[in-house]
Amino acid sequence: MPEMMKNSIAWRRVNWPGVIGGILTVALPFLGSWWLFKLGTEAFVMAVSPFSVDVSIFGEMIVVSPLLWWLILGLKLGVVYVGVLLLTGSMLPVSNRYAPIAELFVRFSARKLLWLVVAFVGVLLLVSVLLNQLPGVLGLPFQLQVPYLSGTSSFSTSMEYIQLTIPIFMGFTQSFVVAVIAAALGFSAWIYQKKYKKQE
Amino acid sequence: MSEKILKVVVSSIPTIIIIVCVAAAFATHDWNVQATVLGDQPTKVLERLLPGELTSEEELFEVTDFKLSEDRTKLILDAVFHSPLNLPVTIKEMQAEFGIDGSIVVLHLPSEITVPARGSASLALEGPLPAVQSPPTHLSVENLTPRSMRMRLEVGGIEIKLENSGLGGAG
Repeated sequence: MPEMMKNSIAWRRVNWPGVIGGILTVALPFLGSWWLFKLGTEAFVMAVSPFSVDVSIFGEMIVVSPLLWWLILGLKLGVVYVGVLLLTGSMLPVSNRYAPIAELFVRFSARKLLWLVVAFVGVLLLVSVLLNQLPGVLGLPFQLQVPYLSGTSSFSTSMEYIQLTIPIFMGFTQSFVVAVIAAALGFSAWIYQKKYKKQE
Repeated sequence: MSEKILKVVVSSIPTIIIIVCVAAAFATHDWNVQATVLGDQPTKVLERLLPGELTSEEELFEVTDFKLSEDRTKLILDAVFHSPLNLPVTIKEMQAEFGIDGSIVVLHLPSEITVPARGSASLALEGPLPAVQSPPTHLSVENLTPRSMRMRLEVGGIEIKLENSGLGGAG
């Protein structure tokens, strides 16, 4: 009975939000793009996440930049590393011996994904604002009305006998929802650990 | 390992990963900055898919036959559309006005047609003869005077409307 109680107390030390958040963070780079931008149905498709930038023009994939590809790979590895740290750090408190290391791991990794999600949304918002403002600033003869982050609109222009109408689509994918959940769990893990430390 | 050293190691690993990846990017491209930084040129892809100069209208359309329907109430114009694009094109709508024996006949495409990339598709435009007009006795392409043409195409979800109302005079 005392042995069972000991085990039960040890398992209570596990930072469960961190465990789930860690698993989701490790899986995140392999879940696909977070955000889609489309002109027409397949005229121009850009599927973006911090771990991939896939651009295709009329179905033909184009390599954006080899340097960007490698940087994205670095970010992928970095996020997997952060996820592993969060997962390990959330489980290590079971052992008294590794508790200080666990705290270090969680403190380092818990909020990284949250910053990444916030930065990603911030960059998208900035690009949307720039796209909407640019024609006016540059004095171009047309006006773009690109949705902010998510939505649909269309762009029309005409020249002599031709009128072009290009539907614009922007939207977040389910992977982004997973990213938000993982980031929220990471943040919860950080708060959980702070509370746990206070109780100790 | 002391906690301080571990802290330094843990926090420096992401930086090391990024540095290694940047070095690998340059190393796999023979340390050539241009080849490493720049990717495919989107304009080259577009040039491959869309021709630089669109061929003239005569080359896009080829009228092959012009006839009356069996009940002699409709005009039917058979034509071939040659797509200059390296992409499938869908002709959503097409309407053409022709002058024939002093009257105007409006022909239209009964249903949308998809033309394969750099391919051709046969079109049968049809339209009713004006009620007051008796069916022409002699039919030939020379009898037709194109007056206007309107088309609505779709390429990869982009809608293109072409309208030319100044074709061939008043008929």
